[in-house]
Amino acid sequence: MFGAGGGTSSYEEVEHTDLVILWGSNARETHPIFFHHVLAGIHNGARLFAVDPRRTSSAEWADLWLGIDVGTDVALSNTMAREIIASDLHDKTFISRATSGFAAYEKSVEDWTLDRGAAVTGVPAEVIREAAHAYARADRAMICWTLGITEHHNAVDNVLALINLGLLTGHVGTYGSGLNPLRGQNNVQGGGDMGAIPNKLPGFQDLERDPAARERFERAWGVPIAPKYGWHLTQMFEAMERGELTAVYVIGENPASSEADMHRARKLLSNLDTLIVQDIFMTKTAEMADVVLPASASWAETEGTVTNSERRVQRVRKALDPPGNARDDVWIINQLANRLGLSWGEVTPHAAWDELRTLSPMHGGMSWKRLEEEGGLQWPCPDEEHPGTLFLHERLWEEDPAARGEPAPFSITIDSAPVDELTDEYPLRLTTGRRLTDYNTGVQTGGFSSPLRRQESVDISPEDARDLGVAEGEIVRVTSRRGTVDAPIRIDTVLRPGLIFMTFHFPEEVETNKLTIDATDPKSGTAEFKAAAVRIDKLPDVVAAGGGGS
Amino acid sequence: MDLQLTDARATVEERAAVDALLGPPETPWDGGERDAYGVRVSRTGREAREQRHLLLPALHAVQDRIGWISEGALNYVSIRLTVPPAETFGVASFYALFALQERPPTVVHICDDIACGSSGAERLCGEMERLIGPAGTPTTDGGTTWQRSPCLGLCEQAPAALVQRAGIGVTDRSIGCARAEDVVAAITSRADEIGLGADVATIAPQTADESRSELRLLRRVGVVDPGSLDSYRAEGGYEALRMAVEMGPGGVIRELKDARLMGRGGAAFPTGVKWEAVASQASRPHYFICNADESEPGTFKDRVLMEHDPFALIESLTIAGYTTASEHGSIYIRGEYPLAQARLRHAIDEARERGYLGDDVMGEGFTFDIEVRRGAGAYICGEETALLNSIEGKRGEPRSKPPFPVSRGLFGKPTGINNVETLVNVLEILRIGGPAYAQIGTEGSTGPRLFCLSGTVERPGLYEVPFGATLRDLIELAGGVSGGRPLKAVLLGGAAGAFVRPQDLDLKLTFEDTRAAGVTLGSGVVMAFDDTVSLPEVLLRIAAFFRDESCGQCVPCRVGTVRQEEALQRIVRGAQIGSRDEELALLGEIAQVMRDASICGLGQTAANAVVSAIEQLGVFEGADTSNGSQDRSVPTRTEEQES
Repeated sequence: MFGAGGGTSSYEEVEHTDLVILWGSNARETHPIFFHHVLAGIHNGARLFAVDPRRTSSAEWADLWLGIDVGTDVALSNTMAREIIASDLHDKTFISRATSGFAAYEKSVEDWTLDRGAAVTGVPAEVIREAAHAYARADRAMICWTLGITEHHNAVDNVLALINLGLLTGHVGTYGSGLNPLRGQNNVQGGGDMGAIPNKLPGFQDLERDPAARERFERAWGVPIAPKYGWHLTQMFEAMERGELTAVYVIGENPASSEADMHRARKLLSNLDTLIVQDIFMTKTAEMADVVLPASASWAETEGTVTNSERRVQRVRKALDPPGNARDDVWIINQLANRLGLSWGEVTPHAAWDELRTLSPMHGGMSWKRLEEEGGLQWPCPDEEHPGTLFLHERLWEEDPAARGEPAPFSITIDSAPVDELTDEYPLRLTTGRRLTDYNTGVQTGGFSSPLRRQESVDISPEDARDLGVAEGEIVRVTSRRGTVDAPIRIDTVLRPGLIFMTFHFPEEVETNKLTIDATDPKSGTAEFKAAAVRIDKLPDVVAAGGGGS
Repeated sequence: MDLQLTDARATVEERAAVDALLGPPETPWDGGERDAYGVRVSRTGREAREQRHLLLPALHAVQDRIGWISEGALNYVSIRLTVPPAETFGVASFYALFALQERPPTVVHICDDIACGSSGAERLCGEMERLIGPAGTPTTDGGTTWQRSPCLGLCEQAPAALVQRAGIGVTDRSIGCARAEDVVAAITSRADEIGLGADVATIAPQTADESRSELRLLRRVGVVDPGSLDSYRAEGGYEALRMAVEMGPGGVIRELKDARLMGRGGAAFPTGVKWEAVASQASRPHYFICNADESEPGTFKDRVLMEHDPFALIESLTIAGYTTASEHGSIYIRGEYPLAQARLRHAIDEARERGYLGDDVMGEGFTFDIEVRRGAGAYICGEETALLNSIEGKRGEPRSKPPFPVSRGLFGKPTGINNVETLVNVLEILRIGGPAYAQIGTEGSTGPRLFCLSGTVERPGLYEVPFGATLRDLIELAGGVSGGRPLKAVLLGGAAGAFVRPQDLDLKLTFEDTRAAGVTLGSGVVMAFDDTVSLPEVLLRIAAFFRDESCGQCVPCRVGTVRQEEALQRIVRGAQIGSRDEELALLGEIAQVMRDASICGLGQTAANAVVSAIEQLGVFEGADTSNGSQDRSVPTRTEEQES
């Protein structure tokens, strides 16, 4: 945010903050290590609020859980903002010094009274008020979010709405306060940092708008770089549909199982001229590939670095040779380049890193030696004397306007209901998510057993189960405008009437993403996995199977 | 917090019992019904988790109402207090007075511990068996059962019984000088008197004779109406608090230091130093706790004070609160003292009503209030850090020290803890002044001291003497050994104390003299045994007591107390492994390990009595029975000897 794609705070700060709002994040199950830091914070006296349609296991620890309707995050944020302003709890000094666009923002949220917010979100007005006041009054407060915010058709607006709250209250750029997206894997942050996103070069340097940076890379690499953003994943599928994209090289992804509206995704992948998959597992996507390049695991079998959610670059070391013909990713790409006629020579992870340091200013001070000796470093770390950066945007608090730099802009965010409308035909809101035992489509987690693992189920409130006349364990048919799956019922009190929940961990058994909608945010390219409209039908002549896992 | 509950549901009555304590549940997440609000909002964070300290009261509520705690009730308590059910079970199963298996609503506990054991307990148990059936078996109507119990703290009225009764409007009752017909009558009667037994003149004989004017700690016992604040004030009550407020916290601490008051609970720590340490802690809030978990077998002094002069404890605890800047006071009282509990609760209510507790005590602008916390049958909770854990709603397992409670005690905050007798001494110190108080007793042990005389003496009871009196003085005060029989031994300091030989009766009962003699005053227990008592049987009972009461947290005590009892059993039953000397050497090693390596005083002292009986009394000297022959030197108790 404000130009840098990373969470603003360090884990350490979570342990010393006063209020944590987990917004659209069941961190306890999906970011269990991060949640340990949250628990340490709670132990030290922090309060925890949870904003989530379900009363998740994270919400069990929360001082306050706000059970919003799916897809009403902007409405809740705008209502909280309006309440904070109306109660004169906004940080006027910070707003005037360090932000821009407040007047327009204030006007845009003016209509979001508590009553209107309550009507839209389903959360009682006094509870919204309580959350707004607690956040605004806290000395230190941070908002942490995950896919509950980003897997929506208006994902970017959702994120901006949360940033607005941080700017409004000055809860950014100081120790213990911040705005933090939680990353789903040990190195999602590192992927973005290294330029594995369509619009940035390594170090978040803009491909189109930063010609100087582009020139630096062109000089170093000895090739011209087109000043043109690439496609993000959703746009790639659109390009496949148009026939513009005919060859795809997939590294460590499984779009054949993980894409919304899976039918369409598989069809498009199968129509490609060339599909190359580089993965450590034989995924569904790999099964469709023309060429499969077996890769080494990125831990234990690989040298290099990873970067976590607090922007900390850490060394990983190779302890084992990969099995069979599996090879290190760097080696594979290196060989490919050489055989395509490029003279890369032999690239080592260390050499690649040193090249990065010369091209990405925020990594400049992170020598291999320092990374090893200091247990990792947090970017930005521009030179060897720099200790790394605990939290971002401290500049916004500088007295000197020059040091303060560009003000952080408020954004006008518009409430926008989920694309997949609820109707009499599709009266139930399906939201999807993950469980502690499993990760995404199960590629990384399906191979080990867990006593906690349950197989796929249709989680449903006791009230809906009663109204539908379905029993625990009964196989039912779930139908959306896009597809149909059969799965057993699991009655769960964490759901309210009208809301059902499924994971997408077991695509071999239940292809949940046949149901989800591929309405995507035009800016982020993320599909609205969190909000589908479905109905549940009893299957004829099916006896209850007795037990959600069967 | 994870609450993975089983399907077992609480009954309407179980829920009602818990709700009567906690109020009705508000949301589905704390045990209520699902409603439109509850599927949108929950509050199960800090505020809910901070209810944890109500776990014991909630379990008591179910136990009191139903007579046992079902799985469904455990689930309900868990969700009401946001405590994982495994922990709720762990706590409930820790305390002996909580039953987790269905049992009759009335349970009679017959004390068969060392004092009652030498005064007719076995005969009473025999009678119970004849009248209502074998121990642990419900009567034919399913309404009652009886069982043996460790010391009930009624040693001066041995044998003793406690009737635990479940239901609405009934309370537990203690029965002193119990005859089987009294017990049976108490089972069926719904009379509301809580205690049955001896009068004050029997309990504390000095209060009824001409020497009563010399009494300091017992001066109001038998005079004051324990249910009346006015009666207490008429006897000088609340003058000490007034003086404390006038001299200020620093003044009170100075008086305590001048008086050289040392704790009466057993550890003999200087009270003034402790209060000053709490008062000076920057961390807030401060807590002050009265340790009334008087569970050392043979000890009943605190019970007598609480039953017969409850306001004295409340006033002295209020002074402690004022002096140490504590606003919250607790009295942790053992579960086997129903009468003392009732009288304290009444006295607290009356004191609060009259402005002696609350937000503005005596109009002096300071806040102090007291809550009564009931133990539930765990000797270890007399250990101060175990007591803290118990109040916090945990298993009564001692903490490692340091940190000491004065810096990190209840809920991690600075906490003062004093025994009942120690606190009541404060009133006397303020009344006569610290220097005058220091003139009482000896150089190293100042002030008056209460002693609990029991066993085979003519007039068992509570006696007050200045420090420096000898064991012989005390036994004479109690009328000597019953029936003029020869004295075999005296157990000084309770089960955790040590035996003294008849030829050592001139031992002066001071901290310094007992320390020099290698014994301890402990909680002031003086238990006499005449020549009819089988000391090996007494040792077995003590060993069984420690095995039962070890909390199991640390290995030396958990294993050592079991091995000690086993070795004693083998010796007494003539089934030793190897020679008797080898068994005695083993006992010595076990004692050493427990003393050196246990976390708390329980393990450290669990072998004291056994070792002293072996070394001082030579209890196992005589024919070695390693050849398997019956040991004739160990008499078995007979009905004839007992009567």
